Amino acid sequence: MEFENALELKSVSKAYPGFLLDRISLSLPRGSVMGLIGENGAGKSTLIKLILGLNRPDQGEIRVIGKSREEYEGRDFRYKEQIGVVLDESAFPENLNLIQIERVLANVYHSWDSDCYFSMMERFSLPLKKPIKDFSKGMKMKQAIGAALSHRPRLLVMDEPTSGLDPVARDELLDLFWEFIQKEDHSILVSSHILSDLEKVCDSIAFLHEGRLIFSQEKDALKQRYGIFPCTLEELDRLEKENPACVAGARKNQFGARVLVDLYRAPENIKTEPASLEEMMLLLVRRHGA
Amino acid sequence: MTAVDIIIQNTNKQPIYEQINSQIRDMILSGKLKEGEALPSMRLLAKELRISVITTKRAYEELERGGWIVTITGKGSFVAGADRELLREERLNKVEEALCRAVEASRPLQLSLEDMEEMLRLVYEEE
Amino acid sequence: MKGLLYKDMMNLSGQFKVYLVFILLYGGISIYGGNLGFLTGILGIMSAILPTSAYAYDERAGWDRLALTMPIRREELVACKYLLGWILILIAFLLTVTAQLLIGSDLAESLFVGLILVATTLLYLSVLLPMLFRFGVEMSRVIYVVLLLVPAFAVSAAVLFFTVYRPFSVSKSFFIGTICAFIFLAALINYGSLRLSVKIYRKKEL
Repeated sequence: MEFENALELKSVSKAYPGFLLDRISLSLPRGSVMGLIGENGAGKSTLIKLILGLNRPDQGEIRVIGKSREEYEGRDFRYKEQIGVVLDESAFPENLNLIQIERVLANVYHSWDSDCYFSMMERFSLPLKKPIKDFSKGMKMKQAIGAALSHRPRLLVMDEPTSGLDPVARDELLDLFWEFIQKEDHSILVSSHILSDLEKVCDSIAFLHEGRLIFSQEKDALKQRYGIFPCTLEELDRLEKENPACVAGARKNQFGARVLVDLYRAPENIKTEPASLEEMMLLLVRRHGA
Repeated sequence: MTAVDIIIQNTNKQPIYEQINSQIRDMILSGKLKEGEALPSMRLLAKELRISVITTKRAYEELERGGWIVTITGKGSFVAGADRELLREERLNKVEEALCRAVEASRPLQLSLEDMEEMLRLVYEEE
Repeated sequence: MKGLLYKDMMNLSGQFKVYLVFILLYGGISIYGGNLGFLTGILGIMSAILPTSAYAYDERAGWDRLALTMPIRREELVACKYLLGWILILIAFLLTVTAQLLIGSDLAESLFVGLILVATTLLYLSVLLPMLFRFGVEMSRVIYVVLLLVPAFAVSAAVLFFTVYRPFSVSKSFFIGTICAFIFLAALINYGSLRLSVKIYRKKEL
């Protein structure tokens, strides 16, 4: 079956005591990489769990690779062969070693590729005969990612895969992302709060804050839309008075301010510098948080 | 495939897709990339340069729009068999524009044509 | 299902070894001494506790969350724990009957003791598994310990009672009939428990 979007969410909501994931709509076009960013507790994991069918949304529609949540959670559960998942903590049985885990997964997935699995484990230099409870956090994460790729999924969904990894390991992981998307119908949804990682590989960014989707946009469009305007406090005051719509967020200090400017609404002569994703997120949170 | 050299400068103010764009254009103009030759796939380019696919896609789309390359779905992108003369023309226009600006800049100093020629020679030989 | 069962077996392999040592030790002593109360108790505890240990391992690792992103149905995850229980109960039954025969009980008596073990363990798991699926390991722990004493006591008491008083001389067929009815009832309850667990687990948020 052909599908336009690897992921499609329409007005998905989920309420918990003290937390509301509020009408999230977004789509991940086939063949692209989306970064899901936001501070801890913003709702990233909740959203990912809803997509994966671990939790049931209160309302809204979720489609994964063209199938609705009801379908792949019911009769079409085999459809999940096409999704590779890495959760924020390794969830593999702790007393098993990598060879035993391979046997479990080979029995679960029809599309299991044993060679792929073992070559991944070798690539990460993971010991095959040690129970994984003796693995470090980074090793567990590598194992989980290798396993998620070994049943040849078309969509990779990862919750904070880079947390707990040192910079070298993060870099290796990013290489895997790029290798994975060499196939045109392969897509990735990855959540992280380490933004420099995502900045490189992602085509689009979805930003969650306190259960709401602040934006979901192509990265290049974001970079075009927002800029940083370093200025004095007076200049900030004037800008806020004359052009309140263009101030997307600001960080003030005693001697001046860094203002996130929405360039579509800003006066033309304003002199800005490019904003990194991280600064964008931090300054936007300031506005929305206030 | 000819070796394609593309160097990305992150500190460059020019957006990355434009950097890719201009470097591929230069290679076509200089004849380093020949008509009909395959370009690296967008996804390979993204992987090797460690940038997102959407960026390489945009670079290729603009190259295609400018008539520099042709993309055939499922096969890849190739250097267009465009009129070489036309491409040369385009470049000549650019040179002319740059020279115009130089002349304009010289006006307030009231430089003579000879002075300008002398300067041009120096610059040219320095390169 | 095969993969899941294999995973539980491997997860439990460390515990299996411990139980094996106990079984051999008490088996030897019991058979030598002619009283199987202890051995039967150990076997009862083993078959009752291992399925719940398997669940505890899964819970601690967060395995269910990952498993449900795989082509595995929720029903399978639940059924696997019951299946594991049945397999262990079968092993315990066979070992008990064999040991009874070894100390010279007749077949009816041996089957009788074995079937009591089967029935009590089935009942125990019937209560405990739905609780685990509903409340998790932490919440179920208290009930877990209290309940655990039930099969151990029941089995040991029954074995003691019947080996000391030897009521079979009175009416063997009556007792066998009663115990068969008991087994049937336990199996029925176990099936109901499985249905209940599935129902609970289908709604569970992970």
